[in-house]
Amino acid sequence: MCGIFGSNNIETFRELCKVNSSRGNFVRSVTYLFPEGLESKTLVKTTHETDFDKPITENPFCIYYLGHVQSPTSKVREFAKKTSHPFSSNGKYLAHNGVLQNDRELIMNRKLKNYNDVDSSIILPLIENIGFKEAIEELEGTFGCWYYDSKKGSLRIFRSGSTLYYKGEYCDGSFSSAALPGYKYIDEGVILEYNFTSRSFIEVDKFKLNMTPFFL
Amino acid sequence: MSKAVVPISGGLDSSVILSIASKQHDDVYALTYDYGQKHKKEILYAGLQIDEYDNIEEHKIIDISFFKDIAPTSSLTNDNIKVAHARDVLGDAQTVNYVPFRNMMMLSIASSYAEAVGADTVYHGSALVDSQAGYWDGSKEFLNEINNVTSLNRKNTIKIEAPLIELSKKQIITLGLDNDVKFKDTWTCYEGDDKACGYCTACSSRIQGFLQNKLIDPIEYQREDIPWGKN
Repeated sequence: MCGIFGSNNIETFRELCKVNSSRGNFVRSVTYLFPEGLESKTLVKTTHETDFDKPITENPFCIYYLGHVQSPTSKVREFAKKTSHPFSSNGKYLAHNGVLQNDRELIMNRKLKNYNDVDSSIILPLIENIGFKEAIEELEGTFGCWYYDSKKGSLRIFRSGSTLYYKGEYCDGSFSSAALPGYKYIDEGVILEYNFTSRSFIEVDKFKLNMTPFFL
Repeated sequence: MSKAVVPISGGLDSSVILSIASKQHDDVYALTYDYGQKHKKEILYAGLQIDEYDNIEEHKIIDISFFKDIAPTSSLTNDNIKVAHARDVLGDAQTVNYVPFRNMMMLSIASSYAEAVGADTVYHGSALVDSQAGYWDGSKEFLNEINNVTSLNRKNTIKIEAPLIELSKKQIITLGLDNDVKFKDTWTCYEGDDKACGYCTACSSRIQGFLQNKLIDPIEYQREDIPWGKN
């Protein structure tokens, strides 16, 4: 019950944030990706904001902006970083839109650690446990995700059930849970990876869809 | 003597709930709501389902069609708003198909009726897919909270039971088959056309449930690309 989006262009990113804000108006996160070699050695920085009227700051060194807007799915209305997207572990970052239905089963069956009450929190531990593609093939429910591995410099997006759109032939370099005019669906079961040189998304793999609760 | 109130919409989930309640209780009091929904024809299907059981004491149809006036933001109660297709809204926090506070209103009325007839159980038809489709008032958290409210009653304790709230559509259909539910006598689609649309969130989860059970849904759909018998 959220929205995910990303762009290499701050103006597009701000526009995508606006169009996604109706999907989640509780907390917004902006994750900035930086190239290697910066003096600070910072590769990834995330900021959270509950006041959606505050403008999103441009960072001149940022090579890609990743966003997530969250709606509360419980009566808890206080922001807690631990339960907010993106989740992170060992240089890997993941934001999710949708509802998983087998998260508790996976915790038991795969003996997962470092998760919390939020269903999305199990995805990174699952990836670390059994690998990226194997993990997303085990997820049941609905999901649209962005996933960034800062050690590999790999940014991936994929979906099953949840909406996720792109502009053009992936070449715009933007994606979003809510569509701007001219945006099209990313096919379910396709893994797209962002090429930081050509500044566009490229299909790198496919995964097996598993128990989407809706016939789309 | 055990008594229960069962709100039945005419849809698939509540038909399964009715089959459960009629087994577990001596007397069942059924309620169907006319809330100004586009798919009002579901009320006729509720009537068909009632005929299958011999321990239904009463079937009331309650007119709460004022929802059309007070909640015109929903595609279900406003003819000028198009019903959202599942593929366009999945993951949305609150789709246009949501009717504001409808379930709380309906459960309040059902609880009132339960207290009057001496029933200690009210059934609630929410299923796992309702949370997945963005309905906060179909969630487990909602169920817990509304039970906290009814437990404040100082004389008559009424429990809201939602036996499907953790079940997938596939599991619900299996349960219905075990209980001899006639799925041809159910109407799920949010549109009120002759045939179900096949695209709205209600249709798409129903279709998937049948596909996952490797069954053919006995109702007719406008949509022609459903792979019945091919899965």
